[in-house]
Amino acid sequence: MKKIGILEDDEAMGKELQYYLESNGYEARWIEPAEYAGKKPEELVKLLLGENLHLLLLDIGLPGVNGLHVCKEFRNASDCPVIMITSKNDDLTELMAINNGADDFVAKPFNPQILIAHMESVLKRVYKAAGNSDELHVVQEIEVEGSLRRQEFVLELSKGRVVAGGASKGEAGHGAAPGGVVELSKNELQILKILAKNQGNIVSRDDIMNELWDNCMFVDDNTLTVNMTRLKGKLEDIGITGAIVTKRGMGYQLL
Amino acid sequence: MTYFTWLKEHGIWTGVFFFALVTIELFLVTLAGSSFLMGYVFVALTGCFFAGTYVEYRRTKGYFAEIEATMALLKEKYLFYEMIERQDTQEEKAVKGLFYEVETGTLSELESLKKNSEDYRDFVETWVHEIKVPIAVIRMILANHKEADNGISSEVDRMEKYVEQALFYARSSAVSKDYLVSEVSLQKTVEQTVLARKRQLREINARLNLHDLEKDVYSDGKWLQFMLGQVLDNSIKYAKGKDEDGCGLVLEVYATEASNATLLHVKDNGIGIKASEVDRVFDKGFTGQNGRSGAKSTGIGLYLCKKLCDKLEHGITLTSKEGEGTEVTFVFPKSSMMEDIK
Repeated sequence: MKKIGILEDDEAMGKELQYYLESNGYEARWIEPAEYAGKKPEELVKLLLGENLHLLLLDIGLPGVNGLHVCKEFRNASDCPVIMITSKNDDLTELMAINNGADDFVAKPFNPQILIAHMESVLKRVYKAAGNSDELHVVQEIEVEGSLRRQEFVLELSKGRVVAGGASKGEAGHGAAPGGVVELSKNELQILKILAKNQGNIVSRDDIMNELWDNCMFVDDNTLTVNMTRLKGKLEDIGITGAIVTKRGMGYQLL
Repeated sequence: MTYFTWLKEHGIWTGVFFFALVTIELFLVTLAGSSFLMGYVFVALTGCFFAGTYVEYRRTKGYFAEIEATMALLKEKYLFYEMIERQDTQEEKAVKGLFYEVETGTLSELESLKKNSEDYRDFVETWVHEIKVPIAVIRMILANHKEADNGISSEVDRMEKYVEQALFYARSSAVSKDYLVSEVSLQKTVEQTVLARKRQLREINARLNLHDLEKDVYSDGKWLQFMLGQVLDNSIKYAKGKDEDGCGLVLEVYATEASNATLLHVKDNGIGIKASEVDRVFDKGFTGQNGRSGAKSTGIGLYLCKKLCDKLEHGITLTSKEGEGTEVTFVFPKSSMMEDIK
């Protein structure tokens, strides 16, 4: 679990943000202003280093210390990525944040989902080696006429394609997969990724669309339906059949 | 001013002259001077008088013609003092002195107004940053308690929109330059602007077609995002309502290249604007029929776009067909200097 430090002077904001990050699968630590009141930036940096953070969310306007200065000092002492958060949303502030070593910049008031998206992309960039999430391996056991059929495929995110693999080891005669590779469009790739991450669960159309939007794929209802049909068709082309089930009125499920 | 009116206004000289002339003539009569002498004196003195006064009249007239011409050329009239060159006489010096008073008085008044307006801008700027904190907290609370939303999120969106307008209104009227022109990616700017309106756009199930945006322009990223946001807000506000496919708005955003500019087009299929009103959409407070009936409008959004575009030296145009849609085009001139640097 990644540990996120929150350096934010507003108590309500700090607490809510901590809670939000915790409920989104992070370990969050809000560093209260009382902990560094009257201390020098160097001491604050020492405090931060002691926390062993994976990522620091840093507010520019802190009581008594300049966030930009803290960012620079912290960056000199650690490789931990920093996302600057500020209500001063202008290009100059953003430039100054980046110049002082920040990895990213998010303006207040932010959409919490978008903050998570920014965090994920920074974390992915910095801790690439650790989290080998470039490939998603999907193994399915599908019930066909009373017997189980096993099929496998690998979703290669950076290459944007699906590789059918591990030909049917189940009942012979049921779906001897021809195997093969198929390229997916940006939308299809993202949809399959969402479904694969939630394999076995039903994902609502609304959730899929939300996530597509957060990744700047602005689809409407019709487009999603079209993408979904195409995705199923492409999977079938390489012998992956019945992988995605439509649950009427609820959403989609990758078995 | 004619010579005659000048003479009339300087009647005292005419009076003195005639008195002197008559006195001399009477003197000559009593001395029994010759009629030739009397005639000569009359002609000579009268001639001298008219010649002298005429020269004086021409001089005065010339002086005023000169300073009036200077004044006409001047944009900031209160700087007139600096421009008066001629001060040959005490009178002319006095005139220049008076204008010095005018200039210093006006300048100090201007300075204090400027300072007031800067102070006010700073206050709004600070205030907006302050108010954004509780808005951000509300957003966080709602994200943590989705069940308690009940439409609060969309009201918070509205609040934020008005807060942004206040900020940019203050920025647009500030005298000082507080933007940063650099290379801005249209793709990124458009995406971020759209993303910030996710809720509204998804609510009406908008169909977005963003294409040919892989271009950079010289602008201020945040300002551009704000302006683009105003245009998108209008498209959302004046959407037609869902069609048979359930799609409430078709929005096309794309860039094209002209010989000396990059154009960014934002095209919707909304209710459009009456032909008679199109010319006034950038006027402050202009709401038009659409703004008065149905969705309430403040008439500030496009006015601000125009003002900010002027500051950044961008162009902005709007074309519309009632019942069919509206297209707003931003024009980013290509600076030859910038190209050279590249």
